[in-house]
Amino acid sequence: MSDKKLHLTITTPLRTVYTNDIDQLTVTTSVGELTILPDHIPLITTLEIGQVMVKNDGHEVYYAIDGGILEVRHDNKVVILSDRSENASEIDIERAKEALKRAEDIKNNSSDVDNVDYNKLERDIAKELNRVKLTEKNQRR
Amino acid sequence: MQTKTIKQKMKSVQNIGKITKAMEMISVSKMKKSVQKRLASDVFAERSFELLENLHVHKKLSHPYLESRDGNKVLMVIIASNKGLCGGYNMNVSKQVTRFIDTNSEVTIDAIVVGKQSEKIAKRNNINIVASFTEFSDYYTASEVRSFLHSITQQYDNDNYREVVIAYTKFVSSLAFEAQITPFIPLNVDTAEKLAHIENTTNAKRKFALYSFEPNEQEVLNKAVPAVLMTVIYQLLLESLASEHSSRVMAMRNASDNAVEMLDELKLNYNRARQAAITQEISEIVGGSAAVS
Repeated sequence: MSDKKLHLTITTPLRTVYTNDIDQLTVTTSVGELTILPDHIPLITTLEIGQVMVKNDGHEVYYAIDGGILEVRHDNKVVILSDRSENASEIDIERAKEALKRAEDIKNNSSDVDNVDYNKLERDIAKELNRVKLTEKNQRR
Repeated sequence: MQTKTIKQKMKSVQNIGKITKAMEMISVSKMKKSVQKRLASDVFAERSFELLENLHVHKKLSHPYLESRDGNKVLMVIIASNKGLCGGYNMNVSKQVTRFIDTNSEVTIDAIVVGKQSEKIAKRNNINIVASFTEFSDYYTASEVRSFLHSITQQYDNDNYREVVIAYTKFVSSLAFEAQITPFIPLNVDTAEKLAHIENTTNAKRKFALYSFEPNEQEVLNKAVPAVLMTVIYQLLLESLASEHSSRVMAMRNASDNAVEMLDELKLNYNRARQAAITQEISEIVGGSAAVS
């Protein structure tokens, strides 16, 4: 492994979630999965709801992300601007499951079809599923 | 006055003083926390503005929220407090709203209000309220801000508003704050940067000419615009919150000082009354013994 490192910052409108030197990073972009290593070309891309895998000194850390923008700079600095981001260990699994169930209930049982914003519901379900998956993944390890 | 009634009054003034002192200290810590939260969003604001400026100003890409529109309706977001006892804080916002109405008499105004006091402001100025947010948690969570922003943009999309303006209180320092009305949508990069207190140092700005974009530049801009709107509205909410608390600190400090002053005065009166009672008693005893002998 090279001794070059990436400097990663994950930030949301509310706070900066993560800032550290890392070896590599894997994200889900809107055109597919992407792994960034040091000396990547400058790139700006949009992120989907998904996971960010951060690898440093052989350790893997996962972050859940509700979409956002990824910026890779020429000087090995990487910035993720996310609407919202959580470390896998910070995720409240019960709450995520509950929210998931609630969203699905509304989707399946709503009698007032006109008033349901299906796009938003689909998005909510995707977000919560993402959290649940990530936590379960972390627990297995 | 009777010593007993003075004593009672002293007691109640003392209690009020204790309460206002406690409120002052609570507000000091709440103000500090709001300022901290406000500063924590700076990194995101800086980056997203950089992106917006490069795509919109230099590459001339566009987005519905960046284009000005015609019309005679204005959507006004009024940010004030839920609770009172904070000096002139709400009154100052109200004055700005009234002035805005006076100078823009040709437009119809709808309002989205934050806080119970701004409901009152809107009613006092005869503005139609389209949405009211009074249940926000202490320092605003991400989902609260998002749904707040969503209701603003939805209202803007569905009706022919000319613009969205925000009446809020700018936090200058813990002693100075200033109610003002600022344009929000259509987003103007320069004014929005000023709102977010981002220094416009042109030579330090990076150009994104060397970057490759995926899937394309327009897609990135479509994500960057809501991100910028979100930070701006979040920062304005927190600045107003910090101003509210610092205004309350001042009001409560005044109240505590007044309580101390009043207590001193009452103590003087009390001692005077007590002395008068003793003197009277002595003269009665002296008078009584003189009558007996």
